[in-house]
Amino acid sequence: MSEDRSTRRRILAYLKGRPLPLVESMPLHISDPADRMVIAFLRMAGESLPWAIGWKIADGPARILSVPEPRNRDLVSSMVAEFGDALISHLGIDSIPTDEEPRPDERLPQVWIGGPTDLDMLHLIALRFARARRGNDHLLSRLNCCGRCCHELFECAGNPFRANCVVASQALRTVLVFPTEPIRTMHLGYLLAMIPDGTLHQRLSRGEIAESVALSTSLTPDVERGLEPLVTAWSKGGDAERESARLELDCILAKEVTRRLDSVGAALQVLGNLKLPVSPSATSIRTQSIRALQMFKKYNARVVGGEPSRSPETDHDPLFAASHFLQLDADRQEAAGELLHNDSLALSDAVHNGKAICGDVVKRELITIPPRTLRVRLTVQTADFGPLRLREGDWTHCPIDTNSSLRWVIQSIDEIPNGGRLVVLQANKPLGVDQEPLQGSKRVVFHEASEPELRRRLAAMVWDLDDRLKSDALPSRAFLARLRGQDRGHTPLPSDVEDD
Amino acid sequence: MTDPSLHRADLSRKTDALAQRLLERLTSEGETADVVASPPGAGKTRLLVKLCVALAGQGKAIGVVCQTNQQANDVAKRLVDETPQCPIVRFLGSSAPADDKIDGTLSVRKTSEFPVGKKVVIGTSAKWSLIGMCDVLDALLIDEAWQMTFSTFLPIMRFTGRFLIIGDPGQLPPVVTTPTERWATSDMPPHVAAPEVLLRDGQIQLHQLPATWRLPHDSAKAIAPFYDFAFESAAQPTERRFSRAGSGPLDDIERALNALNDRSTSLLLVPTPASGTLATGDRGVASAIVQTAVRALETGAVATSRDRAKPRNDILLPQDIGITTSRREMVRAIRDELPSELRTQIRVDTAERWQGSECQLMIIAHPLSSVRVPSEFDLATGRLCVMASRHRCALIVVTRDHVPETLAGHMPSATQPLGQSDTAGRGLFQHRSFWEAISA
Amino acid sequence: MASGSQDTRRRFEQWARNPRCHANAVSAIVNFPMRMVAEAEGVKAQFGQSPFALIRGRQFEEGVFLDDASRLRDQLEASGVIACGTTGFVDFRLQNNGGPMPSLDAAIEASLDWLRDLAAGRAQQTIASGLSLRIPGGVMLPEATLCIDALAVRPTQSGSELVVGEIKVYPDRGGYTDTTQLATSRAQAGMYGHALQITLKAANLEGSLSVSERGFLVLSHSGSNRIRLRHDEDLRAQIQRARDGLRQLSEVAQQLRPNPDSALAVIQSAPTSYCESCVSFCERASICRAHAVAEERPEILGDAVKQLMGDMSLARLRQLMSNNTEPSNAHEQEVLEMIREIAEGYDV
Repeated sequence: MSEDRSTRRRILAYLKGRPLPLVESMPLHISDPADRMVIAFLRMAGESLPWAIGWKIADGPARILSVPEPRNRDLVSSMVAEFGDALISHLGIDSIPTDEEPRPDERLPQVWIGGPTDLDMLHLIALRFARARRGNDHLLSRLNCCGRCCHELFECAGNPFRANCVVASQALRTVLVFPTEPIRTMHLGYLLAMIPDGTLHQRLSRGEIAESVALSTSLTPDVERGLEPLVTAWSKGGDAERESARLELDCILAKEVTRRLDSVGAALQVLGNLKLPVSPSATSIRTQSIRALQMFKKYNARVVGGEPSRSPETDHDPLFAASHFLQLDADRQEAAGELLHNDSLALSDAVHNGKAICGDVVKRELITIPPRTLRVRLTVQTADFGPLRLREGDWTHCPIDTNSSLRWVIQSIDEIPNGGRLVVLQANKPLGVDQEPLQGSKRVVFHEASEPELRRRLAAMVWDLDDRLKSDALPSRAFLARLRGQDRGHTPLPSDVEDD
Repeated sequence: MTDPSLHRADLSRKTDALAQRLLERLTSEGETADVVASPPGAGKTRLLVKLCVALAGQGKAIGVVCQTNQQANDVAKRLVDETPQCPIVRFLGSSAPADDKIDGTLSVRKTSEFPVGKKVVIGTSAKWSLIGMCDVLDALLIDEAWQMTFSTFLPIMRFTGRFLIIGDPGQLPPVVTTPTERWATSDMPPHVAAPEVLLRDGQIQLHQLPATWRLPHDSAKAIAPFYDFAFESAAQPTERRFSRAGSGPLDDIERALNALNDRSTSLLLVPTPASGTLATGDRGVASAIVQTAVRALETGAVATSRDRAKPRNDILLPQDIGITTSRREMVRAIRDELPSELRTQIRVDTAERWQGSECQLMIIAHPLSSVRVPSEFDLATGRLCVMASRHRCALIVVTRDHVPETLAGHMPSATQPLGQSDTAGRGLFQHRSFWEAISA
Repeated sequence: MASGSQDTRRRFEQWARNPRCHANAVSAIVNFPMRMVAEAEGVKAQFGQSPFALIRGRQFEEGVFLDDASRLRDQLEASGVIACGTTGFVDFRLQNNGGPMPSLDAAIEASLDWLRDLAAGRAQQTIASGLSLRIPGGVMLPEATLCIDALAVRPTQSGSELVVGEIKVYPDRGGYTDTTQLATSRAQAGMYGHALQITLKAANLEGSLSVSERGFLVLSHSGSNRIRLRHDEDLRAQIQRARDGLRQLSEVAQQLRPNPDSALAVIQSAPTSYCESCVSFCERASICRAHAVAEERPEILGDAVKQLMGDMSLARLRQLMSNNTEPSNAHEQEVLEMIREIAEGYDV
């Protein structure tokens, strides 16, 4: 949705006095409780790594780990390794990957976190541990695997066509628009407080109270000031004092973690209570996520076998960077296309944003593409909704088309003097032996269509340049080798590989 | 002041010398890559066509990469006009209309249909990047390259070891809507304009076209801040003039049009109401723009060009006037204000759609009009550069009058990724410089 | 209590976060913390520093300059900011920050002496920490002083170029590094750059010493004490920003000569301008927001809504939507049409 229309919807939500739906059906895949792992992190101010980690799988009890001194690397490493074991087990990383297509009833092990700071923590764990090289072999392999998993989850959370990791506050913002400033909608507690019935002022007041309670990975300064003497006591005290401090710290941190875990649970309940029908886009996302998980398992196995792991920071190699970028672009296009295709609110926005046309079919023709192929060509008369972003040559898709793989390419767009447009679209596939596409349809909508298949093909081609470079089958071999830094005879160690 | 015709002859010599150097590079042994940075209207497509003709004359097989079908068709037509002694192949997408053929060209959809031997094959970057197999070409010439991402450039490295990459660095960068944080600190980010990335390789040669042939003298100076290289205008002061046979009532619009008697850029300020205005669809500004266009036509505006082989005085017709804005809703607001008889004659469109086009008189809505707190999007200068560089004769900038105060008081935040250029901050400087130039 | 130098920087940034708010400007100029205003108005402070964060920051900075700044030097050399094999480190940090200087005045005096020595070719150090400056002109009351975290020195044809560095303990996450923190760091580095420029000018050292428009950031690695240096940071606009900002502050300060005893009253009576960013830095934000909520001003829905609606209130919009009244100007008409169009998709 364009920022302009989300701004307007926010105003409307305020006038209505409550959050308003942004979708008609649930575009997110939400796994069954048995397949969900909810995770929460705490960290000490100034530190990057966790002070405490808690998780809950299905309806089981929460498992909460903490360390009395998060600046002690050994303690933190052990805690993260134990968390990693649970994460790896939940995701099934150690099971043998398969090339089979996901079944319709296949389950997706999913991770849920509260907000953006938890997502940051996944990345920070990845940065620290995915490529760590020093330490006890067994611990190191667990930490490396944990780091890789966290990296994968971090990337999935940023991919709209993946549901392996979901940020609860983001999920709520995807389905609802809230009558408040965007910055406040980052706080999960604030969002949850706006949901229950009440007047607008009641909701705003509840929100104000809720946001004073920390739900990010940070503790409030006054809580930390209270913990400081305990940390000092553990660091410097005698055995009895240390144990007492440790227990007290553990108790306080466990309470903080539990509150965060419960908030995610509450968000899941809210999403369930909306009782939105599941969108076909959610199903597509689930399937794609399962495929992604299988691919990750294979990658993980290769890394265990000696292949270098991906940097959590960036792709240094230009070919890999371009290939990954194109794949993400393909996913984004596909997710956007699925949403437009399956949700009339999103489609309405697209019409007003100029990314879709809505009108009546005024002419239908069969066009010959040499030598003998016949394709359907439609002329659609549309009302004037404002400037179009679509242009000649763009691919579009029609939600009511029974052939889901059929696309319509815009041949021409002409303004009608008294308002409106005539848009000519041509099917990208030949006329089949069975039904003619959109036969009998009068009122139609065509929305901007994704070309994910093309982007994925491009991603694969770029990836293949690596092989072609090795096999010397490239006219620009020296040029490409130089761009990759391979003419220096060695590839310098990326700066994000640890050295201590 | 230098004799104008000598000045232009000198510029032509410089361009010819550049073309010769590039031709030598493209026909030399081994792999070469050259980037040509061009100001607007400097003749980059003309240079590209000239090189194609010369290379074809030497029996070479050349590929031309354009960013849109419209650009590709334009290049194909220009090549046909030059009657090179080789097949001109228009390489079409599989869904392109069968009747979309250009006279004098061969339309093909597959590489297996390429004629053997010397040829010039013109296609879009989308088409070129997706083909599987192709015989090695002698060279690839890429037009409007700053609109192409590095990830789109990489696949076309399969076809040749000699590249010429031409484009305008001041204008709109490639549109990327996918989140790019992962590659923001990459050495060769895939989402950035291809020439920007390639120039990080110290062995790529950078050349510059020396002048704009489109813009009047003082307009070239006004957009100079958007470029980090110097260029001239082929037209000398007073060689391009805007004048009118008549005049209207002495109001702000009249004053803005009268200002064009002495210069090619003019500013029309519309008071900012206390109640506020919509940045997206400001009807006050839309009305002022339309009234300006109508007044220009009604008072018999004339565009004079003395820098041509034969000086011309062209009475401005509606199709000689262009209107542009950075926001789609403003396009709508302006079109709604236009008298019905002018709607199909005066082209109104966003800056993105105006890229590659030109006309005699441009009237633009300043991108910061009604924007009180500029964002990074607002401060990015590509859009303004495109808007302010389409005209051959005159430019009128219409805006709410708060803009100088907004520019003076704005404190930009440097939120760019690590190691990257501060586009918001630099954009602010460039906006200020442009404003100074047009309001002087 | 923050040192004078941190105070100056903090106060400037406080103002820069919302320069349209006059109360904010007064608070920054007279150095009467907004926290105290909020407390006087019954609001408990929500921002405060974590004791752990303070310790971590200090330890990290000490680590940067340990062993004659060897870690920093390695990274400055590796990134080409200074040539390999250079030596010399001079420390102007205060004793309570791990340095040798007994007082801020001593640090300022020593810093100026060193700059003079550098200009004359008598000083050869290539790294300095805690270089302390007093901004001439006394723009901010009582005085503006700054301590530059780190400075690298490299030779030029006419003398030396000073490269400003900012040290931050947050982790380098590549393209995912927090952009707000980056903006703050660059703003601070820009302030240093500007302060250096005017100091050199005031001391007639511009002929031999120049300030680079490219600086460096020293960040941390996740979960590690290693430093991560990012060089070639574009500071040109931020130096200009500091210049413009101090000039604007100076203009506000000219009109202001409060009796320190009544600073609270002056701030409380000054006009405010609530916006979304206030939530992240101003202790008084909740009070301003409460007023805005009571008056149903559009800024309570964020900056984009404020931009769209201007001075039109949400209450006025509600009135128009209920068809009880006609729009009184074109702007109201436009906003009404926009919202009505969106409302069509909902059960209104």
